[in-house]
Amino acid sequence: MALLQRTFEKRELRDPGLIRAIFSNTWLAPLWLVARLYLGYQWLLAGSHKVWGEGRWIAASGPDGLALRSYWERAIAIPEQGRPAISYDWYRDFLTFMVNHEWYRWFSWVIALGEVTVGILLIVGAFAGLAALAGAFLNFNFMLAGSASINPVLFVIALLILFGWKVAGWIGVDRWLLPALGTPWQPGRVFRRVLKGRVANEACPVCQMPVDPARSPASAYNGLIYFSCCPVCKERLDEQPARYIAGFGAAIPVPAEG
Amino acid sequence: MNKVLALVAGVTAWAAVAVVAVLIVFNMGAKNQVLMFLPILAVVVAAWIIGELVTERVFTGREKGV
Repeated sequence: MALLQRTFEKRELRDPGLIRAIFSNTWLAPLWLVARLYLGYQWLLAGSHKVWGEGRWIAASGPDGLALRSYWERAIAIPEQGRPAISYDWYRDFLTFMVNHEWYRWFSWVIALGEVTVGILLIVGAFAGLAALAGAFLNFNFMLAGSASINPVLFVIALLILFGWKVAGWIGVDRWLLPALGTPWQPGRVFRRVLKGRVANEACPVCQMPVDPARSPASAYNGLIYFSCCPVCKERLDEQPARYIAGFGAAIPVPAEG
Repeated sequence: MNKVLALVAGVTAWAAVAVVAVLIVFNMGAKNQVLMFLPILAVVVAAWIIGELVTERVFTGREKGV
């Protein structure tokens, strides 16, 4: 029992400075911009072929998704000689199921518009991390279906952008979007405004200094929002929320605005 | 009023980036990827400058030295 406790006790392993400098510091924002633009451009280009022009997948003459059906049929085919394109039987079964149920008719729209959307979001830097995740998921599926092409390169770039989601969109819409929306563990201005009417504390749980719900750093704990007076106190609160909040008591409800 | 105009300027700038990128890629295909990449980079930098000099300044009051 002691062995299990020692192994799984709560212990945060902090990233080294170099990793934080690359993935969490804005000084490399220009490099992330180039990576983002390249990836976004490639997705927009791939999507453009599917929604525009003679060989498009959608809104073409005849049923939608015939090109996708051909692609899937080629992927699931098992040749008499050599190795099949798909290595995993479960994935072949999945594609076969989709072909048999004519899912290509609506799936072609999902892929075509998804690629264009991922491309645009990466180029303007809006929700860059989520866009990169969606792109990586598409790459992953293309690779599972046996298509290498440039998918491995795009997959790696997407993963890097995913790891650097906090700064990847710094030269982009995320520069304002992320602070406004925030995250589940650190609500931004928009969510704070919504949550302000429900729960807030009037004094910092760490040092008891007064807090300003409009500007003070916020932390989410047990479904409640706690404001700290400064980033240092917020860091302490995030490290040991139970200690400070237990001593502080329940969050104090404040009246809703308007 | 200033804040509304600054916000509209920022949103318009980044919306223009999306429109320009789509127009360039959809109309030129993959003819010359470098030539297509550069104008997209240029409008992104222009939008970023507008965001920093107009939107961010007005919202944070940096132009008043706050």
